[in-house]
Amino acid sequence: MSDRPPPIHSGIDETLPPGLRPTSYCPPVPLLRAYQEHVLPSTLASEVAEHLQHCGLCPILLADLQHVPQPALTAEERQRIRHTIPSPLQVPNWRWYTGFATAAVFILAIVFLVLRHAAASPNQTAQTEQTKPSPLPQQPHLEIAKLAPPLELAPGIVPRGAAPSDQPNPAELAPAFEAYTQSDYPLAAQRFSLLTKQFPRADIPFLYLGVTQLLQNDSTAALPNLARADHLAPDSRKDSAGWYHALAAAQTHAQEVPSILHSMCLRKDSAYSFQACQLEKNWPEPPR
Amino acid sequence: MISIDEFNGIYNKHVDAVFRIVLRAVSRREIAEEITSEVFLTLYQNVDSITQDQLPAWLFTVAKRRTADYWRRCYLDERWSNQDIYEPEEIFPEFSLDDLLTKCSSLKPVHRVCVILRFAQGMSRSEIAAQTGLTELQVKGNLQYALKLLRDTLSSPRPLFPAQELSADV
Repeated sequence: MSDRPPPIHSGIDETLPPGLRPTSYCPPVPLLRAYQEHVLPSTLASEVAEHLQHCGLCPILLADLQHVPQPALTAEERQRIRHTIPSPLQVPNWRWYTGFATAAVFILAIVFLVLRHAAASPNQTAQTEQTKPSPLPQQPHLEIAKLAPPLELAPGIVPRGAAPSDQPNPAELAPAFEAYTQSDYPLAAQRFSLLTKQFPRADIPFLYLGVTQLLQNDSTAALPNLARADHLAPDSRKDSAGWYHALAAAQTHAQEVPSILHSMCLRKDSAYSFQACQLEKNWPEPPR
Repeated sequence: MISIDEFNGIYNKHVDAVFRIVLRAVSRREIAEEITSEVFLTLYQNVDSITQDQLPAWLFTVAKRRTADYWRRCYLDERWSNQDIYEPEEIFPEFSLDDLLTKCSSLKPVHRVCVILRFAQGMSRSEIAAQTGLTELQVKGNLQYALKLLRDTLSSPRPLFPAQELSADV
């Protein structure tokens, strides 16, 4: 910002007339507009306000920008935004019916088992035990391994330079990881959850919140968090985020499990590809 | 409570307005897209506790808060947080651009915006186009037109400024 823009060499005279210069250095236009929208932190807002009092150009720019129509949302952007919101929306109005239906099925199953047990003779029972029917395809039992905290956040390592603004720094993550490493999952979940609200574009809080919820056997809550972590994760953490996303999907019997497992299985440099392939192989085919 | 159909209706109805508000506050489309997405994700997560009559005000409030969070995070990183940038170098212009822009009544807002973004903000034509939604060709045309008017104003027989402020080369 301290350098003046270079003249444009285009054959057309696109330079200011000689002797005419802007009178001061101005804050960037995004900052000015943010000030106008009242979304700046107070310290910064007061600095911009002070600048505006002395600058002749910035107030003109802000006033004139009001007359320049804003570029609208494109259809592509609209679609992209829509895709970031989870698609299998739970319909709150159905929750009551879902609960009622589950309870009814459960009661019917118990009644059926009791009646069947009462009707069966001891001989029949013995015979039944001898010739057990072949088991129905069952989903493989999943064991959730605890994901180690990222290396750069290991205690004792002090990273140099400022962290990217979208990611929490190690000091902000430390309390959550402390609870996580001590296996205090309720506390860890609470702390990671706070971090997800504070840093909605950071993958680490979403990833570890999801893993913590998986370790607490709350895969329904874990699924959206891990899906978000998978979406946000950089290449270095994509593998872990994808795998735990797959595990959460598998535990919630989501329809997309085979496709997630398949893509994990195809990853060449993945630490989880073998497990993903095995799980995909053993995953029961959907009933037709 | 909001059902799935209602949610889709709300999204289609308000996504443009939310995006516009966010874009005005952050000035970068990719960031505006992310924040808009977060706003509707927040609606999705709070769908049990929101009623139709709270909309769209609820969405706009969340959008404002998210943009404020964005700027708070940027505050620590960006160069402009450095106090030095507000200390202008010693420049002694013969006359100031803001005075000239104010006095040149033939200029429209879009011309002034292009000139200020180009010469005070140091933006390229493509950056101005991205900021304003104009095409690069329109930006070029606006700049040429505005500069011609400014030159004409300066060389007009009835000077706009006191004689001693005008340099010999004008």
